[in-house]
Amino acid sequence: MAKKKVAAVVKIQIPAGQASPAPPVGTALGPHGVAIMDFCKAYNAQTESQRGTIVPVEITIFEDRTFTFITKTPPASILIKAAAGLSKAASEPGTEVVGSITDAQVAEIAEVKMPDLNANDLDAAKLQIEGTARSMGIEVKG
Amino acid sequence: MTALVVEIDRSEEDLVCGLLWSLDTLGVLIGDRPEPTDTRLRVTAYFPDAGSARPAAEQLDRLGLRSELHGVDPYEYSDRWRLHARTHTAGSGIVIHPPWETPDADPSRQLVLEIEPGRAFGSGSHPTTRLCLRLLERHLPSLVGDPRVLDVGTGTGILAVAAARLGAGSVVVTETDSELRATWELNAEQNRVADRIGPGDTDLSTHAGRYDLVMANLLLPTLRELSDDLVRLTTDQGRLIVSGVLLNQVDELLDLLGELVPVQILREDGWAALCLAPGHG
Repeated sequence: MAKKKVAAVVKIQIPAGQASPAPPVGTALGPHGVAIMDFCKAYNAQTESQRGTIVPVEITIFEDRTFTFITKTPPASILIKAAAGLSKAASEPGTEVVGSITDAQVAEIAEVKMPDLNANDLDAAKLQIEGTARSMGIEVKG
Repeated sequence: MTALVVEIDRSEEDLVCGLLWSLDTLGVLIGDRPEPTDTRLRVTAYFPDAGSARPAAEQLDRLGLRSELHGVDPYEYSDRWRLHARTHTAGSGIVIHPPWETPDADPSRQLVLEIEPGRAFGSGSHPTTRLCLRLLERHLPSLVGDPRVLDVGTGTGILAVAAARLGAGSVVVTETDSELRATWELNAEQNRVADRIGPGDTDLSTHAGRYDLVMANLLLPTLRELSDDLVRLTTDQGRLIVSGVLLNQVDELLDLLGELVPVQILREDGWAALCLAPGHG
């Protein structure tokens, strides 16, 4: 079977199970002629067990206006904040420390994020998570 | 609705998106078609209004990232896809087309439905709609008399219209989004079945009466909530058509509807639709 030609690839972040035709879904898909409600139904069905988290999605739109999508892991900063028990990150990151997470929590987040990180192994992934945590004003304590 | 647009380095994506979520964005669009070589990304975050977007803009400013705010019409793009809606077929017997397309169909042999998609689900483009139509076409004629039909979460009204065209005596529809009423009413009129389709109590727990055929193309979380009512509203000799579930969710759905037994299960493209009947029937 001939491979379908890709018209666009769009990336959006929305809460799991709550896609609706409003932006960003409508904005991302509408201009490409994709049946928006069909995407919403598919995304919501596939992410219903993850409700309460943000599940980013990368949507590939083909020239015949059909689409496929893959869901990604939540942004590391959201996982870090949840692990630190914070609702907000530092307003002056770099100068302010607003919380801390443990090394074990870093490892846990690194494992969750591993499929989407450009890291060769868990140690490299942990370093990236630690860097993100620091930039949010969150310390890593052994 | 207000859009906050900011250009960032690719390495800042996770941090900036996390910050936007902590400041209550409704959703984020990243880039439009980022090329692998691009190091810059355009991030657009949506907020209910300018007032709720401003704290995020100020926070980004502190990080040295300048953003712009502008108003957006939340429905501008969600309406635009309609221009590309096209004709679909369900099995060999049902043809669904938007008002602006003339389908290549044989009305003497096929059921031809004209459906305005509006902003509702049910244009015929989704597998679950087509599967439900096939089950409806197969099982409605086996019900005796002038079957009473209930369509839960009617959307465009496509299943209700099809049921009426296939011989239902009356069809009651429910829809929690009241803005969609104009769409399903229009579709009932366009297909000359408005006299047999009318709205019913959207709260199924207080919904009175029972139906020879109940249809519900929803999603698993909603089906979980409504399963007892769906069973209760189906008559002893009736049928229940449910869809909106992925193949790996069928077992849970069958457990939820334990009092009914599956008569037929159809599958397409990872989705399933089920027709069930009371166990003793």
